[in-house]
Amino acid sequence: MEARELHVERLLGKKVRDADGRIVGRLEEFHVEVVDGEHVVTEFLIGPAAALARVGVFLTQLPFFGFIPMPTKEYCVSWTLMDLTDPDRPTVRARRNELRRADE
Amino acid sequence: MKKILQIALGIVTSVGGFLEIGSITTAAQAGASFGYQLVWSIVLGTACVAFLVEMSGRFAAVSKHTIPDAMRERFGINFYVVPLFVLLGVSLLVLGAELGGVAAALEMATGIKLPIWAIPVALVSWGLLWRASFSVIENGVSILGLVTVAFAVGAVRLHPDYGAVLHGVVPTLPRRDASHYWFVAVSVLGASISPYLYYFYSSGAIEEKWDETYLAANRMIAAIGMGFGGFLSVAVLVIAAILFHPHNIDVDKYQQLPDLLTPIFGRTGFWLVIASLVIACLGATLEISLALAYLIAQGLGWNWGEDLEPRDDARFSLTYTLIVVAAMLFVLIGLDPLELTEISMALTAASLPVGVFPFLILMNDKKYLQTHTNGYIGNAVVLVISLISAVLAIVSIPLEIVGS
Amino acid sequence: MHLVADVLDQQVLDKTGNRAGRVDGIVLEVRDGRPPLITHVEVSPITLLARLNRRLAERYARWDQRLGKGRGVPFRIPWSRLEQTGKAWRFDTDAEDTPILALEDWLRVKIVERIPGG
Repeated sequence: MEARELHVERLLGKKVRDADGRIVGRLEEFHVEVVDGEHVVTEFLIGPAAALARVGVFLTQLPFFGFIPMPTKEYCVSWTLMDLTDPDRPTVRARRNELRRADE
Repeated sequence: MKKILQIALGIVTSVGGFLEIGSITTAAQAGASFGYQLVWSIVLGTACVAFLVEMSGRFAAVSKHTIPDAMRERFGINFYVVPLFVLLGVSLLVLGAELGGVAAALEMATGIKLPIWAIPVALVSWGLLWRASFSVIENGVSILGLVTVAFAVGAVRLHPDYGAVLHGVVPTLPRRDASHYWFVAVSVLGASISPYLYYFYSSGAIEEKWDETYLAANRMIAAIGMGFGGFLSVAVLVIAAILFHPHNIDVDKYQQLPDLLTPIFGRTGFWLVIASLVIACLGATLEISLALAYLIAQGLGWNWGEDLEPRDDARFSLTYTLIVVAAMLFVLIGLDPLELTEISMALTAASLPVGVFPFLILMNDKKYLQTHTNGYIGNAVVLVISLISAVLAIVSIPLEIVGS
Repeated sequence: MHLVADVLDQQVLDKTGNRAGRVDGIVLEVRDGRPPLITHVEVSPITLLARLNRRLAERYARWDQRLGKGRGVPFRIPWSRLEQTGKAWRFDTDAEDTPILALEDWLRVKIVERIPGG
């Protein structure tokens, strides 16, 4: 079993596709837990892919603009479903509509 | 007792350090071209910067972070480089204008041509940064900057129609020369709301080890210091409105600046203007150089601190050295300080959202400020004024270029 | 804990509490059948530049190699040697003993100390 290295800062922002090749979003965050005394990444947060949506999310963080409904889809993906064999093209081993939404 | 002294010092240094080439020339141009009509732009700009300065101090005191620290941490490097490069670019132009302001004053005082002063002025500025401690720079030069109170005295001596001045506080539409009116308004806003000012203020608060006990003092320094500073700008506008406007004299050469005080104080007025320009612009030079060096050093995580010996923060020291050299080149190649001022003030206004929006997000982030996040009024004032400034700038800059 | 919000781009402090750069990168080890393990953080202009422009990072790495033996690669701190203090991350060595301050030291010796008053 070969140990492979990945860089979080290079994975950040990469477009993630599902099993059908559809774009799910972009890698935004990595949840970490301590399992068996080790710090491991248990979940990946995937956010909106479209540039305009990302700018929109930034703008809604401004005071008084938080009321604007930003239809962003965020997904929480377990490490078991994440395929990072190609770090430039991460994929999930499921269909987009099977993934758990982050706001659930 | 100590707090009261610190508040007093903070107010004095804010007032003394408020005027610089940008605020002096834009206020003079506003008064000369439009009488009292543009007083509102100074009021709006001063209000906005007072809120920004208070926020900046509060942010540093509560979160123990400077603004560049938090910007890199909260938004990441890929976002951080955007305000970094925009602020760097615009502020270098402003810095060139300030160095040019000192050189222009020395040219008027001695007759020795402006570009020749580029190197000596840059050398003195750099020497002060290299050797002097933070307090000496921040406080010493700003206290000397109180010489600019001469403009307030001068304005009072001219017996202005205070009612008419107050009328100018209410924004009105221009009766003539609309595009120039808005361009001057934008320049005034850009001169008042300098991003380097409130970015620098957060680093200063950290240097002076502020904590939550300083919040009330911070509010007073911001309100009273910036408030009185704004009054000085209005004073310059009033003088120009009374002395230049009736004769249709526009301010488009820096050699006209002494004419603001010579009719009132005679030969002494000339030297008051020279002294004001030299001290005020020197102070701004030091502040901008440090602000930009802080922006880079803090974003990259270097050791930083004006009170450290240069040998203890080599990268930080060499960064502000390079910044001073870069700005010096503008003066060396003979760029007119007045034109450079106009351009840099307008660009500052146009780029305000780039620096202000992420800062507003930080100011409403409980992770940094806990119970001290922004209130509605602060958010509204800053958001609205910076948006207005940017929109006006984007519209009026091309029109001004076409018109001139 | 979240890597992007809590670790990446945060300030790094050395044993004495001095600022020693920022977390410019985080290294994970991918293992079959087990979740990815955090192994190191990288504190290096090479890592930082790579996030902006790959070619710029490579050019910087080549220049950095000339500064000494073992240079030209990002400096790594093992995850086990890091401890969170507030929002910052402290590691158990003096920064002087690491390449983090190599550029700082080089500039100090070659330039700053040669200028009067440095």
